Amino acid sequence: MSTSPGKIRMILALALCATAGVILLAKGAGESAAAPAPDDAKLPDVARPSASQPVTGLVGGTHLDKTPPRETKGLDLVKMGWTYNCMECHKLFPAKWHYDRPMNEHKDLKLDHGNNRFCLNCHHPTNRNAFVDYDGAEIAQANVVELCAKCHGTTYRDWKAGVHGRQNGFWDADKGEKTKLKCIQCHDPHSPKFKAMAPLAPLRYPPRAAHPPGADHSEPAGHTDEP
Amino acid sequence: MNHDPQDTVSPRTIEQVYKPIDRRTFLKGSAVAMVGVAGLMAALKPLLALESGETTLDDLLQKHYRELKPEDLKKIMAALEAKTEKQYGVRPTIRDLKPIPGVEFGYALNLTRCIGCRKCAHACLKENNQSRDDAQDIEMSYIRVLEMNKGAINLETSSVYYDPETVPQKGKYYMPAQCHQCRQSPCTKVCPVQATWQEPDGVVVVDYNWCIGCRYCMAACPYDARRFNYKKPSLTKDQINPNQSYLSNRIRPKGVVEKCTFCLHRTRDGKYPACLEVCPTGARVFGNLLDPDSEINYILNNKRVYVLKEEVGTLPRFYYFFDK
Repeated sequence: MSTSPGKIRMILALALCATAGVILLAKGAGESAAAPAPDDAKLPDVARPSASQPVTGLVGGTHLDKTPPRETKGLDLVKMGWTYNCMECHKLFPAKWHYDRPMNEHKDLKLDHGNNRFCLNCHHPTNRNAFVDYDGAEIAQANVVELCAKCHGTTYRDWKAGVHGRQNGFWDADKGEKTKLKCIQCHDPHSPKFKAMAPLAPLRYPPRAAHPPGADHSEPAGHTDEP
Repeated sequence: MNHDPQDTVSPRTIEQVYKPIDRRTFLKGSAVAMVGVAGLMAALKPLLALESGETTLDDLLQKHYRELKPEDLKKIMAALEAKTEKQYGVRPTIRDLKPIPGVEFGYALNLTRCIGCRKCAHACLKENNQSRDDAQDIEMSYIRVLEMNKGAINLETSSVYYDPETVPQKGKYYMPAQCHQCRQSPCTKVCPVQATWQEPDGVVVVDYNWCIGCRYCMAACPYDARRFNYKKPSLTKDQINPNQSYLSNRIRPKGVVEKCTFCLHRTRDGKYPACLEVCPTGARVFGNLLDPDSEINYILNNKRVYVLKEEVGTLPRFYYFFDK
């Protein structure tokens, strides 16, 4: 035999080194692939879980319900993609200042906006697809915030500073963008007061206080509805 | 003949000579022994957990978070990931996010806007991997919403267990309370093992593997912001939030004190905390106190700001404010 035992030993050692290197490399690659955390700001680009990980759990922060509180009606239908042209009807019907008698359309509108009780305070008299400014200029539907700012100046100032209304996304502008909700995504412009909503179940902490004796409300503390 | 008392042998019984244990002494002794054995068993209980695989030797010998080398922490976090996968069937990503230099977090809450819907408290449960299916299990939210009587900020007459049909109720206002991340934090001062401390960005954190569960910090906290976990969270696969961090929302061992960390696994990534993201009225404002243009500084400069229990001198980083 031409190969000595020493040579064989060397070859074996080399092979061992190579396998160890491959394993280490693979491990490093796996770690770098697992490193990026799920990112909920850009939902479509959620990092796919690695092959070993089943697609379970709350991927990408979908567990947080970020829907604006206002129910979908009227202008929100535009937001959802239902584009309609108000002027199809309103070129026939002249502008009316008072919203006083029942109409065929818009019967579901209940105007409850304080002293602001005229349609044309906000809607443009000749172009019903737009809103109206003080000087009669048009405000596009997309710029509805400027319409509300006509009266609610201090609130507008707070909103611009990011203090009125919810912001989502990133507080750190370097890391990502924040999204702002517009007025009508939370407030119904025809009845802007926030509606009462059902509270979620109360906490049971500490556990022995689950049914607090002499609680100052008459209702039993046990909340059996969905969590 | 004189009797030498030394010579006299008093008639002693054999029992007196050998002093056998009478029944009473025996029972006493065995009771003491039982207590001793029980104590020993209790002391050795961690070893039983060791045997069952609940804890590993590495867990027992683990150092304090701030003394860990980065590579050791990496190993520990990998072990925690594996443990979560074994117990819950989902492998989370546990990270160790460090404080961002030049950032100090501040939080403000608008008492004029809050309607007490408890959406924040429930988002907290989801974000921080707490059990939430059973109504009786909804305990561990770090946010407690207080229903207050209008006219004063009186915690004595407030209620946490309110459950009417709709909120807000007439004559009431609502004040959610969570950890205030105090600058002079009493909770970190009383901890006998220094398992809790303030990070440079102001977040008060707990090393959940170091905490012994003595609950001194809960007694010290004037805001009732800390929670003791009496049981392991009951979570299904789909309920686990895989974005976890060692100091915040990883699944904690039973028997430790937990707290709000301003969602540091989100906020140190530049994101807003979970409770802010779900607030339907936008009552919550979060930002960097050291950035003069941040939203939180807009509040502090322009609004009427109220500090809860200002008189106790904790200097919180959590503020309440009013709109009108």
